[in-house]
Amino acid sequence: MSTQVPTVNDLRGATLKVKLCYICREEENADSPQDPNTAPRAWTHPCSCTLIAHEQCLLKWIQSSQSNASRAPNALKCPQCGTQYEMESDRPFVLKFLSVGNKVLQKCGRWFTVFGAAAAVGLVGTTVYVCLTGYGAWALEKFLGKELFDLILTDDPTNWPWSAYINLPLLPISLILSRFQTNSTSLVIPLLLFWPPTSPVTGERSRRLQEYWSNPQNSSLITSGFNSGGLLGTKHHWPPPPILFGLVGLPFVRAMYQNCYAWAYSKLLGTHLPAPRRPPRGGLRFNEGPFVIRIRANLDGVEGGNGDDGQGEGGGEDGQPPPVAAPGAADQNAGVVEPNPDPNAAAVEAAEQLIEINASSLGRRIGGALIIPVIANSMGQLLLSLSKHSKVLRLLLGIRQHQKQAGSSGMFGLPPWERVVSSWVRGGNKDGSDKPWAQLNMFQQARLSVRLFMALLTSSSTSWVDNDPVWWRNGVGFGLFVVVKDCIQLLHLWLAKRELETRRVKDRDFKGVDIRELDLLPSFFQRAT
Amino acid sequence: MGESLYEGEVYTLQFRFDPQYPISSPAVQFVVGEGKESPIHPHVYSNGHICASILGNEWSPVLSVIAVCVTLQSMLASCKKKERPVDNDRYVKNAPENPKKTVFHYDDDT
Repeated sequence: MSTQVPTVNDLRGATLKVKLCYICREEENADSPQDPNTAPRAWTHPCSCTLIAHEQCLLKWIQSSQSNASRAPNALKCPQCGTQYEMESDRPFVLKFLSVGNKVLQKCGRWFTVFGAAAAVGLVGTTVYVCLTGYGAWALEKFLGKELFDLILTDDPTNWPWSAYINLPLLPISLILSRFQTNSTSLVIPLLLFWPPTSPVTGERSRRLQEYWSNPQNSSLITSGFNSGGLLGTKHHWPPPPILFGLVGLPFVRAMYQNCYAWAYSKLLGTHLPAPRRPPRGGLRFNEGPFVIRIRANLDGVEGGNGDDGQGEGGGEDGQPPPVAAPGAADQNAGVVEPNPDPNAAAVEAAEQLIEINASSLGRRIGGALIIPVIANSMGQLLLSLSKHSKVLRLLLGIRQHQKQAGSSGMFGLPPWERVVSSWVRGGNKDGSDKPWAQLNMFQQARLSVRLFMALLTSSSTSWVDNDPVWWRNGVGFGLFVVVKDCIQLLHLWLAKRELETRRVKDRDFKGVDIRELDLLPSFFQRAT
Repeated sequence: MGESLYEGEVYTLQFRFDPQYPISSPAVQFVVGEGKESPIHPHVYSNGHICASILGNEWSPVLSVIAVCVTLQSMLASCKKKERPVDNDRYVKNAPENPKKTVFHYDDDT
């Protein structure tokens, strides 16, 4: 007997000798006769304590608990002893499958929400990125000219070096930023200059170039050509190599222009150019780009770049002294920060406010920044067409017509950079053997390095030199544009100032006023009589 | 109440049972008005509503009316400081008539 364990059906009553459903609190006494009208209800003992319940009551409770998320965790637990209830049910395979499927779908749905949101963000980001990159490439093409653009980038993005994907989107950003931060070093600088020295992309044109110079016969030309100074040295003196110009020429030209501007400003407006306007010359290094960019950025005539004659043109037009530009940003600073005791300066400030020189809207600034490449390009085109009538201009712009037929004849353009280098390496060895860099001794390495550096400095790279210097005439053109714009702005300023100075309030007589109300001088009556 | 902050005080509880009882919990609150007040306790609002988990998501049919009363008694007895819930005024202003319609957040076990 002792080995037998009682079940719920053996109970007469769990406590107090009655069966008590812990849920509905109904009691059932085994001793009392059943109500014949009601069917006996099944009892269950689901846990390890003394609680018992009607099976239907418990199932109802469990079901209602499970339907509520906050109660679900405790639905299958005895409230007294905490024992986990075990359920037995008829769960055909199909039901299991469907439940699992439902859960999976639920999860997928959640993931979809997350990924959907991420994708939306990503899509927007990508769109912006693509737009920026597209603009960058377009701007570069406008500025460098189609020919060079095809050599270093091409229209096909699959040819682009990885750096293009960083540099290009930065271009419009830095263009815009340059309008708002007058003294920041433009990001575009390294961009425009450092591209070309990297190996040309594998475009159609550069591939042909490679093949051509791979030919041993031709490649010997490199060495001899270089040694005689024919290829890299003397051939193209003008325009100056971009890096050299950026490092030396541009700051010089800019300083000159600023001096000219300050002089013209004081001559014209009778007051000195307010001092704090000048941003530090941050963008010295590699300045082809900023040359373009910074000009606009500061709104004052950084340019002049090309200069002297350009200024002459612009100035002569309206009979003003040549250079000079209307430095908006600067004037603003001066005007706001410290009231100038000089009456002339005050007048200039008033004039500036009158023509709202500094009130350019966001759209005007951004639009103005983004349109720079077009301006540069069309000015370059203008210069090109003008140069057909002027030999001096042609020389100055370094326009090379012969490049047009270069492809077919022996004039193949210069060899790609690596080829030149390797030929130098070879040339550096007295025996002419094709030793790789690592096998050269230290002296040879050093000598080669210096040579490379000098070449880089003076001729930048093959791709810059061997092409029609569109970048040059575009840059010059843009410089001219800035000068003309500055002149116009200054003229406007001057006229506004003069208008202010000549203002008078119109005098009227006392017609219609009773004379007796006025205390008049005797002279009036003498005249009247 | 015996030995506690509420020693000697008398409160009246109101139980309302809906047709789903005991599957759903009864609506339990202190009677307020006609000279009766709700105890001042961090979980008891001035309108008599009680924030107690056993009346909400920890309700179990095993809890008899006596068990609920005992639980609430011990809730009062364990109180260390007589004060109203922090959001009492806001809650009382917007509270539904039936406390079961309020979704309480149960912060602690006291």
